[in-house]
Amino acid sequence: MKKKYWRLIIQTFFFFIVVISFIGLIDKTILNRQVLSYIHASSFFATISRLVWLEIPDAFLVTFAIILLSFIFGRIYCSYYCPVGLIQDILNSLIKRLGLRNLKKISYGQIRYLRWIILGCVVALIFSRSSWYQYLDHYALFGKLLSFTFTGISFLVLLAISVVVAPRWFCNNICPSGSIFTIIQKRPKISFYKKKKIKEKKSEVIIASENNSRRDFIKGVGAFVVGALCAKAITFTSNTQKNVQKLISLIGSILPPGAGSRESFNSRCISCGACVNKCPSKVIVIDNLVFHSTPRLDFSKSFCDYECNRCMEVCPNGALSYHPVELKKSIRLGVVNFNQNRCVVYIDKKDCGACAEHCPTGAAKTRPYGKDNELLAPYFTEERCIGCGACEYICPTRPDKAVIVKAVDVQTLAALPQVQNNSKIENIIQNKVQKDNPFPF
Amino acid sequence: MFYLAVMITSAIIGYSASAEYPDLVAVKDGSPVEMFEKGIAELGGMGRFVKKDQVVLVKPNIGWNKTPLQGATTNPELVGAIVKSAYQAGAKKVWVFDHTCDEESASYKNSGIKDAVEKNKGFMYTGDNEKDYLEKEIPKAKILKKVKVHKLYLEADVIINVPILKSHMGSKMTAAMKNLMGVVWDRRFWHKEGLHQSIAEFPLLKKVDLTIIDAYLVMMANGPRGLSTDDLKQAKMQILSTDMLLADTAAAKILETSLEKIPSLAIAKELGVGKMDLEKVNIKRITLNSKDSKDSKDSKK
Repeated sequence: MKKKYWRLIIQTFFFFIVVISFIGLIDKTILNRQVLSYIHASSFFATISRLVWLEIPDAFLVTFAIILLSFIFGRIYCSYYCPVGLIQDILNSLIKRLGLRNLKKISYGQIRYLRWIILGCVVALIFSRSSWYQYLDHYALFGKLLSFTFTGISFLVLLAISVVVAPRWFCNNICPSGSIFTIIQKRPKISFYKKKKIKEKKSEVIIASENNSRRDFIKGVGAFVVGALCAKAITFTSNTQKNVQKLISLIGSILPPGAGSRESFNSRCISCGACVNKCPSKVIVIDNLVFHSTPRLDFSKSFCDYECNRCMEVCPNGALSYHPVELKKSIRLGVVNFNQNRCVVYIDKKDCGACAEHCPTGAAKTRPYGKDNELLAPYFTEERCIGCGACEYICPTRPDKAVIVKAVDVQTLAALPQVQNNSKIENIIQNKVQKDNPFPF
Repeated sequence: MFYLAVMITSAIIGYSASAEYPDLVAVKDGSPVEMFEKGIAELGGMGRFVKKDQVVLVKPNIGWNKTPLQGATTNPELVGAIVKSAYQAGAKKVWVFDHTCDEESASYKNSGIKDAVEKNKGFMYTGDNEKDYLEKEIPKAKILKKVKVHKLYLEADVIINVPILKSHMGSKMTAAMKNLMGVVWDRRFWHKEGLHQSIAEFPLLKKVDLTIIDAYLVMMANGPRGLSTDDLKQAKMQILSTDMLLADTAAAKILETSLEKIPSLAIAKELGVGKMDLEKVNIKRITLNSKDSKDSKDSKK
């Protein structure tokens, strides 16, 4: 009995660390985001998906430690660590109280091979780098749940239904991480304990029948192959010409503020979608096709708000390092690329100024242009550009915009807005005002 | 009490000789709310524009996610005072909205306008939903033959336009006419097809009943967004008029820009939007000698 409570306490502890990381509370406390992200070790699956591509994720040592401990103690990740596990346990006790479990027990032996199909599918997706697996990985789903998205809420509903069927049904039938741990702990020889003791440790986690016959093994491998082939078929059909073109254009995609560089971002981002869902400007999007489905900024939809650092606040894993708004204002995400030959002012000889109007830093301005200087033509100061995309978003030219923001390899700080002294203007006005009429008209 | 007095006097004057109202009222050296109260009284009070049970739209400039001190959005106290006075004149409902450039909820909040409006029981509405915009035709227009306009602008019985005066890197100046760009959906079309012409043509769609230009903090350079408070000048003025073009012409003088440099004004005059000759119209100039103005004069030195 006591052991059960200990487990609950540890589970709750890790659960709160994850939740605090997710909802942007860290920076209002003394907790350190970097350290926390190691503690809650959420990135198990994301880490594996990076290692397959020989990228070294930040938290890979933690992941190795979990695997090592699983060899010794069994599925401790699932019973002590996993936030989705705690949700299921809570739902389970609720359902027990309500007496819903008295329904006819459905034997889930019939779908014993489902998990291997899913694992095969997910592994194939990892190798093709098209990371639709964010819809199967428990942690990414948990992130969507905390962001109250449609996917997240439906995940919770399905979880509740699955708990009625059997406690931890999701862990034993769907969760690809769970499947990996099952494989690991089915090597009892490495264990320091006898099999019975292991069973006690994972008291709540009911694992599928232990009759590990050769036939079952072959069936499992067969299911794995079927899943892998299914995923391969999905990625094959989604690699249409349009998508391939999109893929190429995305190679230089613009990362959210605080990402640093592509390498550092990939090593920490777990595709949970917290930044995508919390972005007030809705400029952050996730493409399932590339880069382990890490987010990018899409300036055709919106632009990055100058006064906002919400994505940095909510990133649970430190993939977007936190900066206060004042500093974020000068983080350079990209650099403007101006093509005069598409600009309304230079080509049609008409005033526009939409880019200069939207530019928050004064990187885009207008100056007199034309025969009699009757027009205002845009010009750009690259040192001051932060790549927020406001100019690209509003630029009216079609099909190609005159202003395009190109990504930078490493995010740096742009020069601060130049401050002008307008005292001259004020003097002119003061001089022109007559004594009897204080108005300039 | 003050409003009651204003309403009664305005009613008396209104029946006797409505032509005696000035074409333009310019107020100086008061807080935005003080200047509004004085100015609207000179124009015959809010009761001249808002009748009982009418639906009123107040259209401030909330284009950017900036605070009132940054001078990019209309003064929130002024907007609040207008909402309040519209209700006192008998309005059924007062709407406030803008099709913002920055993200809407942050702009509504940080500009202080949402708070000010809701404190005075006005209603904020979203300008960010394309479904709210209806396609309208302007037969006399050259460019804006068709334009998608927000339903609140079309349905309102009374429209009160409350821009803030700023310099503009595209249209040269943003005041009354340019502020109406915030009730249309596709602004890129204006930029692409001819900004000045579009700005001048849009007022042909529907008459704006009252224009109040907030020129308390004026953005003299780097508008309409502004880079720092160095771009601002504390002009402490307000312009009230029933003629949008006339108000814009006066505003251009405050901005210290020659009229030829703002092409939309001349185009609008040709289209019959309003008058431009400030010398020929009846202007009421008021300087409020409040304590507030003296203090600021001293501190300037």
